[in-house]
Amino acid sequence: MQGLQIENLEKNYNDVRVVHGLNLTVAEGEMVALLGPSGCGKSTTLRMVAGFVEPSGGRILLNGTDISGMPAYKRDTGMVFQSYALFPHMTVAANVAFGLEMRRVPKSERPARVAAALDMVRMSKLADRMPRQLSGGQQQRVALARALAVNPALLLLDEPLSNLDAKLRGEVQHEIRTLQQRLGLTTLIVTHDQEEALVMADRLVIMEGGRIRQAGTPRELYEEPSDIFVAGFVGRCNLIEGESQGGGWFRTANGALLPCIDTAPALKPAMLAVRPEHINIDNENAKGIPARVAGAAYLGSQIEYRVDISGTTLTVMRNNATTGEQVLPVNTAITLNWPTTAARVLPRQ
Amino acid sequence: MTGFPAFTRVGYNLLIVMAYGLIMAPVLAVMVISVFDAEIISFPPHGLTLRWFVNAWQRPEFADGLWVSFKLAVISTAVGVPLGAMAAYALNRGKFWGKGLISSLLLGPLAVPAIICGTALYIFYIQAENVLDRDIVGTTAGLVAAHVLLTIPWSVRLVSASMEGLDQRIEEAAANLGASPMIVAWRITIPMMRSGIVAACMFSFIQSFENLELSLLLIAPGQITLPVAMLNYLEFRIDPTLAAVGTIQILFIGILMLVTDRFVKLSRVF
Ligand SMILES: Nc1ncnc2c1ncn2[C@@H]1O[C@H](COP(=O)(O)OP(=O)(O)O)[C@@H](O)[C@H]1O
Ligand SMILES: [Mg+2]
Repeated sequence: MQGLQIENLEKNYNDVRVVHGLNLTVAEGEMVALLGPSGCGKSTTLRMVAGFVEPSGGRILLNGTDISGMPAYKRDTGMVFQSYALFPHMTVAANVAFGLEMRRVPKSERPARVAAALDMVRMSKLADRMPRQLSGGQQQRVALARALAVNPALLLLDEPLSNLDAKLRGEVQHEIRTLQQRLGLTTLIVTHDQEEALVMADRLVIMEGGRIRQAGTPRELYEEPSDIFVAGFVGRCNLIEGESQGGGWFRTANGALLPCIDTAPALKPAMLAVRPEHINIDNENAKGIPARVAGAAYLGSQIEYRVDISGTTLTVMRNNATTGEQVLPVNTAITLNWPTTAARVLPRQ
Repeated sequence: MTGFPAFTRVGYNLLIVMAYGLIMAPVLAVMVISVFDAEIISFPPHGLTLRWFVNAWQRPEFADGLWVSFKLAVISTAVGVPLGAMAAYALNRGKFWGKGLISSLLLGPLAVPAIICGTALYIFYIQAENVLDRDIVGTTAGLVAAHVLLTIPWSVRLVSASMEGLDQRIEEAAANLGASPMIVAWRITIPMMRSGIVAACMFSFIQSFENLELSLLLIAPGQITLPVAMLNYLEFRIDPTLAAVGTIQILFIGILMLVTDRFVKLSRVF
């Protein structure tokens, strides 16, 4: 079987378990993002795949071969590190050629392969520079070229963009994604930045506390989160305490009755999850949930409201589609409504 | 120093000048005396001369001593630095019990006065001779071993310092590209420790080259090192010839430092 399979992978550090029975596949040519807060075990997982950390249990298969016991230098992976980890005493070209030499690519073929790899990341002109003469973004590109030059069966990226400034990060995200799709690279990326994961990956795997919370496409995770951690971690979400009554109604802890997806079973205690941009604001007399504006912020493309439903505060994002749209003053009486499918009932943890 | 009253700044600069003066005074004094034209050092000098340098050159014990010291320093450096560098690597990268103890032991010779080291080694060598029934005191091997002891703490310290700032991810990147541990060490780790290793070579060389205390008790009759030759000379005469030899020694070490600094910036190692 092609691609990467991780089966029941575990890691203990001095009796502390930091990765719990992890199962994960990356299909051939697919890009999967491991997304989670700092310290949840993402890097440890990636480093076990690369062979820098020895697993305490489980198996790792790459294109059908169990590589769990293989030393790092025999694994066919290409890794890009957060700190880039370029060889400081070698030129850009020598950095890229190193992997080719190690994998015994004939000397005559190396210059062309180095040039091709540098070309891919638009760094050909700087081939003779030393790493210290490059900017962060340029070093990042060289690190990527170095990993790609050897045609690895699996590309591993550990927070590859977190040392770049925000604007550059956005560009490089798209560039890496385009390159990955063009070359059909099987890729596992680790990040704590949800936007990065959403932009780059085919599938996301949300980790927390060394466990997988949920895996799926960006749309699945955003629209159908299976628990409140995922709902709150991917995008913004209003989480309202209360209990589901069944039949499409949810009673908040403050006693207000809110509409929710009618397939939700009766569940108490529970949480109602509603995305801020799924909530409509209507005038006082419309049909819906009576509410009051508690605060507003003009954000340019959007207006962010804090609204109050009998003691429960929600965030509402409204698109600023037409110019001159008025920001509702504080204390305006309003009516809220949302499609019932936009309000999901999740177990409280 | 903006914002400080002028006298504070003057005082500060004065302090720097005084500190440097204090450190440099003996060195400068030796160099000045080496050109005084008088057997008995007196001030002001009667005149200036280079005859002490000629005298130093013509006396075989100094030329021979320089050559013996040079050879000894080269060999001790060649043996001591690789040992020290390997120890530093193990201390930085290895996971084993008793690291702190081993580290203190290796740095130990720095803390013990050299004359005590020399005496202890002498006694140890004599005892070892009795047990092993072979000569150690007065052999080249015995002397080299003693000088290697001097070079090891410097090597361990300087190489360790250059390893501490080294990002281990760089070595992982090399392994990831297919380099076995041996190749990683040879192609990545050692080149990155270059400045530490060069500095270790230089300091080891100087330590051995100018050592008097260990050599004094351990040298073979025909193999007099320069510092010992200078001490011997002092027993019979006191004239600026020694200052001339000292000046040559100082210039030699100074040039060595300048040349080293061209390859690695020494200020970056400390
Ligand atoms: N070498 C180590 N020894 C002990 N604990 C470690 C080691 N490496 C990581 N950990 C711990 O494992 C947990 C997961 O770390 P890591 O995988 O780096 O998290 P992430 O990459 O998701 O931020 C953290 O709590 C961290 O402190
Ligand atoms: Mg990490």
